[in-house]
Amino acid sequence: MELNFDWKNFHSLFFQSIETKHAADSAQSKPVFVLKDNGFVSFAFSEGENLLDWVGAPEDEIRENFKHREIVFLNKSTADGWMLKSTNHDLYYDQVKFLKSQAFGFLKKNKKNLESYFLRHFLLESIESWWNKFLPSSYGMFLRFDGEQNKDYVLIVQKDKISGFNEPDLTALGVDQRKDLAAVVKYLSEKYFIPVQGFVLDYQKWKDIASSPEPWKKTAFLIRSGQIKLAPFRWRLVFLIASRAFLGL
Amino acid sequence: MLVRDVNPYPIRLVINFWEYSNAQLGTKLDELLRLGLTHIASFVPWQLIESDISRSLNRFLQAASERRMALSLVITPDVGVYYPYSGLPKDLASSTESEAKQRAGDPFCILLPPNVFCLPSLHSSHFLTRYHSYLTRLDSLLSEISKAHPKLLERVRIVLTGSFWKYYRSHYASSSRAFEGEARDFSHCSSLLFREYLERNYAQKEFAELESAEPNRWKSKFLEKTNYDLFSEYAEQMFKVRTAQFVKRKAYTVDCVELYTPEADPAYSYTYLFQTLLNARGNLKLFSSLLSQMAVRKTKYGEDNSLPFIYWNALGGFKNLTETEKQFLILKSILLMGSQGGGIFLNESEWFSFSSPFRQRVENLAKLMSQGELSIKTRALYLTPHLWSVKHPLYYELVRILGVETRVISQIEMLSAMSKTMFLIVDPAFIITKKILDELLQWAQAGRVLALPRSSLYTSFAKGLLEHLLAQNSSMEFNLGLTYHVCPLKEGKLILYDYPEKIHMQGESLHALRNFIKSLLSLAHIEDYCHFNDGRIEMIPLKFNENSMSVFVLNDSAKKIDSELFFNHSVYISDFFNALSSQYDRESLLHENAERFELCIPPCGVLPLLIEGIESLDEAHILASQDAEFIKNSVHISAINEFPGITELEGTKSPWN
Repeated sequence: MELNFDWKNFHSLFFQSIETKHAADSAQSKPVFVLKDNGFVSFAFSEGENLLDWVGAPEDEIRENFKHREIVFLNKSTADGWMLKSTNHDLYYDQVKFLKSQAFGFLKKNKKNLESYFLRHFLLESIESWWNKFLPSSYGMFLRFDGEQNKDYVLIVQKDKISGFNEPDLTALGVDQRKDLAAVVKYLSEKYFIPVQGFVLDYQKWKDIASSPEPWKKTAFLIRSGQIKLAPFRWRLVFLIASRAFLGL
Repeated sequence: MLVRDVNPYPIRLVINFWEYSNAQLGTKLDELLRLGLTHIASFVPWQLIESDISRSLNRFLQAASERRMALSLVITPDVGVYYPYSGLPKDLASSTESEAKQRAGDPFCILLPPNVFCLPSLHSSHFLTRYHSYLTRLDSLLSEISKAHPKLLERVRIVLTGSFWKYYRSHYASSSRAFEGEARDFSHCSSLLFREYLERNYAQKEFAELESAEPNRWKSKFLEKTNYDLFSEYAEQMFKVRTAQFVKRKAYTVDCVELYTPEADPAYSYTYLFQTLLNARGNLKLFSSLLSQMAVRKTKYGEDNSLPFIYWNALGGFKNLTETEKQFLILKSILLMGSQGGGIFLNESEWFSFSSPFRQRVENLAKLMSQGELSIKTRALYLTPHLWSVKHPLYYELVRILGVETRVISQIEMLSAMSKTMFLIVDPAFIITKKILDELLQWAQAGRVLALPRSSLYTSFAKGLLEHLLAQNSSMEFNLGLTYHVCPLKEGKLILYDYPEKIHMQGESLHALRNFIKSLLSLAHIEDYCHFNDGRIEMIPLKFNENSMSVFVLNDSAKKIDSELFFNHSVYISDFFNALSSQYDRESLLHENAERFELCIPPCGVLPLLIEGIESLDEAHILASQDAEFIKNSVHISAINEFPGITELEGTKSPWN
């Protein structure tokens, strides 16, 4: 694994922004997840509640106690197996994706309607979707945030997978050049030997888009109104965004 | 001003130097200097030392030295390091042959970024050979640097940590209670070493059974669990001793630290798995209980006592907490660990994300602790065969009553540093040799109370010594919960307690156990300073200067708690931080002299109180015992000097009986 994945900021940008979806729900409406072993509770989890007193209790007892809520039972050995198999992947992002896909698959198989708890960031979802048929096999995205968080990030995609994310080192550029989005994008393209697409937007707008029910539509409107700047302006990318935003593809 | 050996850096801010290019590193350090930071810490990833051609460590040392910054370098492998496989070489970390194993054969997974990996076995000869050669390589690197630029290492402290041992616990067992379950590596290499250890240890003369129908009883199945505990403890100590030997050959300043990363604890693994899957919030209560359990454990590192530190790497469950919850944990960590000479490790960006008033408050506490003005007392000791596998009901009850003023130890040599502690209870599963018994009795006879189990785990020599002692002194039998005998031991007391094989932790049995512990504490003159009428509240009582006490009242729930605080006699209380300020007008800030106070503790709140007028019975007892000991010694010396023919007073009846 390379040392170029800044997980902390990646998590902050792509995960924390969508954590608020269920935060306002009361504890009583949230699902309960139980790891069981031989008919007994090995572990119990529900966000905002401490259910550790249930460890060791019979499965039937917890089922009865939470019968008015959605309760999901999973064998402890299955959960242990997921954690172990996730080590076959190098990047933490891939490991988390693997765990989520296993959990999502389990819920679907058991007809549990809890997809809303497993949402991914709209940008990551799109990058790893059919978009990769229209985008280069390797490319980068330069994200510049204004406003409350003045930060630059570069996201690298190689062979349809996210392979890197960090704050780029722009010290080789002059102070004026660092302010010029086109110059930065050109520099990064030459540094990584891949085409790079630059985006500039206010950080608050980024958060608003992520928590919007139609994030691509919002993105499209912000591009049209100039609140999101692209450098360079690539029609192929705009077409992809529009197809998601207005056609739901 | 109190002068003693205290830790000068309770707050150690971590910077991951390998994440920065040359230019960026200089800029970063300048920024930290502007913010008033003159001491930083960093981990040294093992993988980096083996494979780094860019000499990033050299650059880092150079940059820190140019800015006259002091540096703590953590060189032992540990969890939570923000480097692939927590800094371990990839081939070692991903090798299934070198993996540590749980009882069922699964490895121990650590779920923290930058990648999930399985812990290697610290028993593996392959691992240890590589590890020692890494230490040798690091040592020669530092020597090279020191020869080329002698001043570069002037302000560098080498930090040795306890490594992975405490994380060899099953997720499942730990989920029910913090640090529950046995901490053991069941890998093949561990099993082989265990057999060798058994043969070697019990070949000693001490374990020769003089008259026994079971000459090999020490190696029997019946004692397997106890023997595994002893072996795990022994292996951990050998690892630490060998690590210290590599480092202490040179004249480095070395800090021996027991570093604990709650986010990597097996108890948090399943919680973190679900938090990751569901983008859910962190669990403050679980972190809080992990801190409390860790605070009572005291370890040794070779000949030195380890300083307890908490590392919040903020990449796991910590990052999913609210700001208030994070502040609560940081305060609790510094109170519990800083007051014992330790402190916290925290990423510098995480530290500066806190508000300035909060940071100021924590820094003030840390400063007091670094000057030795704020410290925690150890009022009772619990001696266990293996520090990370304590689960006896006696231990839980002792901690329930005395809280963070209990200290669990596994090394008898630590007693010499515990002269102010007046009570020790030995775990019923502890194997007692004559040497151990001698040391325990020596410690106890200076006015302390020692509680030994009446078990079958005494060697013949130890049993003989005990029987001889009991024959010389009459004892009294009591039954307050459990049956026990009290026997005078010069200025101290020896208690021999009968412990049933099985005891239920509920109902009458629990009540009996509680009465037993309370009666022992009463014999040792240990009583509550104060108590709340609400079981959700936790207290951290700290000694402030020589004459005052501060009590930090903690509420780790999401609701405010209105409670009453009761003292045994009238005291004055005031706000601790106000009392520290230079404009402190004591008279105006003191609450009325009273025995009972009504307090409101906010959610995730820490209420700092300064108590004056509090008297502690055991403190008075300590002073009286020390005075008695001093006077007795003086009388003996005077008698030897003044009266011809008297050379030794051994065997004469003590006039103090």
